[in-house]
Amino acid sequence: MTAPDPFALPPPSTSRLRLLFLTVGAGTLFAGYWFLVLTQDGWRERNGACGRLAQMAGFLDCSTGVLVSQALASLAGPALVAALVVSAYAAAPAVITRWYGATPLAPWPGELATTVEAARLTRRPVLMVSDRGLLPRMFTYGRRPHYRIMLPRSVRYHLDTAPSTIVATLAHELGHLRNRDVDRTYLALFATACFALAVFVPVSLSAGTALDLAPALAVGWRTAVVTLLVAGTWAAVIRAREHDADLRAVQFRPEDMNRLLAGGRQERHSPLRLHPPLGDRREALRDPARLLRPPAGRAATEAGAAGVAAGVIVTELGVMLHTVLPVPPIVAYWIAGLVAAAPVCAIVGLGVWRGALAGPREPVLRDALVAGPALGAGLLAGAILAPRTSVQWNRWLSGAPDQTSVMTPAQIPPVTAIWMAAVLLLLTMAVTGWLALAARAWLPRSGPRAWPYAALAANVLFGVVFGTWFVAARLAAAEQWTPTGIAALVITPWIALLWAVLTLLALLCLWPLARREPLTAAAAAVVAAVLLVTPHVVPAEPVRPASAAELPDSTQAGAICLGLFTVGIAAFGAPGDHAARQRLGRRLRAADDPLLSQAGDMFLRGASTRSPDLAALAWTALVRRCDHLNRYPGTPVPDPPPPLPTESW
Amino acid sequence: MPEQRTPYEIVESVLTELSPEEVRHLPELWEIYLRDPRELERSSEQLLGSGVLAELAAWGPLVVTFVGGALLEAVREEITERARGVFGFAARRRAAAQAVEEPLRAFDPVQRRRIGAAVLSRARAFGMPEERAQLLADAVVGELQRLADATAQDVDP
Repeated sequence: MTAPDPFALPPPSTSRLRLLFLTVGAGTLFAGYWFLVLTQDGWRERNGACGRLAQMAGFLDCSTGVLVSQALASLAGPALVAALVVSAYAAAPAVITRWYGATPLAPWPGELATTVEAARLTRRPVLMVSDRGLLPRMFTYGRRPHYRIMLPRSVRYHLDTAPSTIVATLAHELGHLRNRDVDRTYLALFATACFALAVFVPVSLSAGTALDLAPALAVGWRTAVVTLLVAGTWAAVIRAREHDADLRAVQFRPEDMNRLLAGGRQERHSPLRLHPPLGDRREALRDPARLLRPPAGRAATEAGAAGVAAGVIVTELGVMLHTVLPVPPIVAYWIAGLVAAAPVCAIVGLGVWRGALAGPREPVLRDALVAGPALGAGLLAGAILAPRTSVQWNRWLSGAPDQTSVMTPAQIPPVTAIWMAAVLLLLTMAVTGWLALAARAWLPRSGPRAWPYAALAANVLFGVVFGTWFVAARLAAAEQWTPTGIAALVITPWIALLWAVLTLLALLCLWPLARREPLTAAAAAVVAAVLLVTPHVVPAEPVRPASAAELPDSTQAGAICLGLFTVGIAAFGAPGDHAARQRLGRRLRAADDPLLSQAGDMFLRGASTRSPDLAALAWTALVRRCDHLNRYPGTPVPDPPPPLPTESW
Repeated sequence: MPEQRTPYEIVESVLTELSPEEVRHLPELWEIYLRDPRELERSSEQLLGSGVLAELAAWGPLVVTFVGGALLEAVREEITERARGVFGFAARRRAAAQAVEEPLRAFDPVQRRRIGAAVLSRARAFGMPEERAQLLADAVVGELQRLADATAQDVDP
């Protein structure tokens, strides 16, 4: 039996890099929103102009336009960081060459020329000689396809005294070029540095001046943790590529590489280790399949870290997409979930598949079933760590609209929170378990070629799970729903149908197991049956968190809005309760504010035509108008106690 | 006139004794060393690099760094001592520049032992095997002893 090829599946550094970029993107999205919206008094003038419009249609269009513009403005954060990263990446080769006083090596000594030839690169790199360096240290730099390798000035001395060391070190650097990871490394480095300098430091300092101590600390520590997460992901990218470079180098300079690693010493590492332990590197050269089998616990740790990053991404991106895209909230969150699921799948799923590729006796399913809950726990932590959820912005910044406020899972009522956490952990475990079974089903037939299809399928499954769960979490945190209430609200007939289709397709994908491992296939079928039945045991109608409550019997807009903030969604009544909406409409119609009065008309029309869409639009109009009256010039309304009602949920 | 030798010449003598075939590279190694004297002391992880500190089987960089470093340090201390009381910082800066060209006077036995111990401790800190580190320290102490003997012969008719 031949040893598995560690390069048969994509290297793990690529997926970690994608996760790093997405985490940086999510963090910078918040930074953009912080600097361009939250600290700009929520665009008070533009909002005030909307509030002065006489017609509800105009008011809704205008205020929606402001919210969309604010959400789009937050893209300036990622755009700025991307510009900085690309500029640094473009300038790096020239700066490094100048910094090291490097000049091209000419002519190439014979050993170096043969080593470069042996690497069989599509394009030969330029060998540069630094104006310093007693030790045989080298590194790669440059931009695709013009790569360079920096040699120490003492290269000729070392070639004379210890050619094997120079050849092995050069082979390692050529291994990086073979793996095409030079651009990725520098982009990751600059993204991490720019995130720390352009996001963490300015946001923390700005929060310290713009907010009171407690909310400033809440923003500061979350931003710090996200920065550490980015730095940790970057270090993981750097570490993972070293193994791959060693493996490439040993393909064309085996003796020199083995001698270098056997006789060399580990550089003293900082807490953020940038290179794998030397012992691991020696072992990986001895048994390359070892790289396919991470040690026990590492898969779960990686899954947890990926989950944290994904939680941050879905939270930040979901809020933005929900505001910008003209689609139902759950679709916006599915899109955010799919975006975050791609790198998660490529880390967790690839880990599972690499383990399966290492050999049929590997405990792949067990590892996957551990990684799944770890991923779910990471998602929970990420949802709490996202800077957007640091504080209820509209409580601390007078101009921040209600739309800005994103509740954290920590604000979900305990019983609902426990249920929701359990559901998330079980669902992520189901998907990772499916990935392990898919590996067992497909690898013997199709080999690693099947991975892209499995990744795509798992991406969809993860994306739907992430998106649906985060929508449910926002609802549960905002409105104190019961577990069944949340389930009934989120799992509509269409979503139940989608759920069933995905479950059946996932089960069908495991068909090759039916003959080889009938017991495993039967167990998968049982799990699928449970997943298929679950949506049908939730109540058809959502149970409101509280019985329908009425707004105060007053014509004053301030009193009505205070009542709305007190009773919350209960004022809307149950979904089919048109009588409640009629009462609400009559009360609003008599309000002294013309826009609230028009919202009352909308409720009445919705009740008479029994249109849930019109009722939802009227609710949005009511909530947004009250928010405007509170935030921007007009009749002041006292600060509402949490939880706040959300729009159109 | 007593014999006077610069730190470079002492380093050259030590390298000649340990590995004569490397002496032809010494001018370049010395220049590289003077550009970044602390390179070998930085054993921390380099962001760009393989992460492996290759074993140095040859003597050149070790002699240049550890012997040269200990000698230059000793000379620097002496120059700074002579200029004490004027401007400490300026004196230290001038001493660092002068030390390279300054001819060495004969060190007394205590100073020779101290230089030998400094070489030994730097070599150990770098991770050199004990045997090689001791060999290096003995070589430099021996060379300084020879310098002291030669100076004594010149002074004593």
